[in-house]
Amino acid sequence: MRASGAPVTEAELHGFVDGGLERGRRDAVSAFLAASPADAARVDTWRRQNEAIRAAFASIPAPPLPWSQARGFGGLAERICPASRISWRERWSGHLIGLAFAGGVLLTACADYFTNHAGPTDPDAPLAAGTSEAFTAQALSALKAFGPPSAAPRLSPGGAQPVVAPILPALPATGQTLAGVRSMPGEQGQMLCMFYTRKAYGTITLCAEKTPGPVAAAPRISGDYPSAAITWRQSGANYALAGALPEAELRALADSVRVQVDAFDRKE
Amino acid sequence: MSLRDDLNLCAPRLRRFARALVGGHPAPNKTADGLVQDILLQTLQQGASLRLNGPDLQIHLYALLTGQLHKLLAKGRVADAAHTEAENFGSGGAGTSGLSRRFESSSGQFAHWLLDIPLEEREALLLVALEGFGYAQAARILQISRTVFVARLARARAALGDIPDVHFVPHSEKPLPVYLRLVK
Repeated sequence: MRASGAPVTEAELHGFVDGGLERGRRDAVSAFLAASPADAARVDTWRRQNEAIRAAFASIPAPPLPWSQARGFGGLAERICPASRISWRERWSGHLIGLAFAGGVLLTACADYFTNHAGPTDPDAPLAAGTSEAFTAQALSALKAFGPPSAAPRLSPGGAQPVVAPILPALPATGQTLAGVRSMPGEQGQMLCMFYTRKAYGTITLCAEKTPGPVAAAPRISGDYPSAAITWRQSGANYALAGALPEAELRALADSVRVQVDAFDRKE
Repeated sequence: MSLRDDLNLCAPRLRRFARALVGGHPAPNKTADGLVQDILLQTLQQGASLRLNGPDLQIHLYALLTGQLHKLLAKGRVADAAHTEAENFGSGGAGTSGLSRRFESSSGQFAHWLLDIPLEEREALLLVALEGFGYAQAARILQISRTVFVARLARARAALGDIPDVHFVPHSEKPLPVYLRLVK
């Protein structure tokens, strides 16, 4: 430890900019800079450099979804990579859990639907490394195209060539309502989307598509609020969750869906 | 909490650092992203034998990254690619086709300024300014003394000089590839 009255060194000037000085030395450096405009200008330049570097790389992709956080963990992630910490876990709330549970129940129905209705997969189709951009775009398009339940197309009577698949009844949950389920051709197979309405955030959609490829792939965020989507692969299917939700809530919701899918898999 | 979860948490920051170090900009960079992927997989495969946790794991990853980059550089496989990517980035040329974001030309200039700083000094500056490491941790990552570290940092700042205000404007979005492909 240096005495507070010791001369200011070059290293301390750098430390002053980078926040690595003790309070006593910070005061000494501040006093030194007040009396030395040339050094103050240099320090100011370094500070602007730091700000420019941070601004230049502020656009880096969001941290990935930490699946295990939804299952609870001992806090190791809190200690490593602290900049990756996000506040979504703190925002975890009961209505999201309820919505996720509803999603899990519906996914059970979806899995059954896929089993019975999905067509044969194209053996020539390339194995996806993860969820495809087209799948994400389709999920977002489905969200945009989804109208209020009263205006939604219904299964045409007599079973003749319906434009869209049946819309399933909504399951009420705290803060949001399941407005319907729509089946549509996906990129490589049948794609099923569930639509939820929330007073504050409009419509949210969760889409799933069974495709050949890896069993699972890590999630990624596409786009920005209010047109953000989070996509991942799980149990051999692509999943996308899209809607005008803050990223933290989108992640939390996706995490809860993932847990439900995992729980469903374990029951099988 | 598995090692894979820890690595996934570190991946975005590692990737950001690698891209800054190799390409001077945040857009996807084949060399940098490949390097990060290799390091994550390598660490994952070593698994529990590493017996690392918390900040030690983080320092291990950054040390591996900088070490591998120096090895690649010694083989001459990085410098040319980095400058080509930086030129494409600044001019909106071929290298930008897969970018998740593009920046105004002044930002492309910023990438050139960064890449003009020697690697050893650039990594010192980025570890502190971008990644927020303390001097002691950064010196551990680079496996040098604190005095040498501060000297490199000072040289980097002198080389970068006074930079004008740069406006970083995000443009078209494109989803990024998954960062860790080995899942189960």
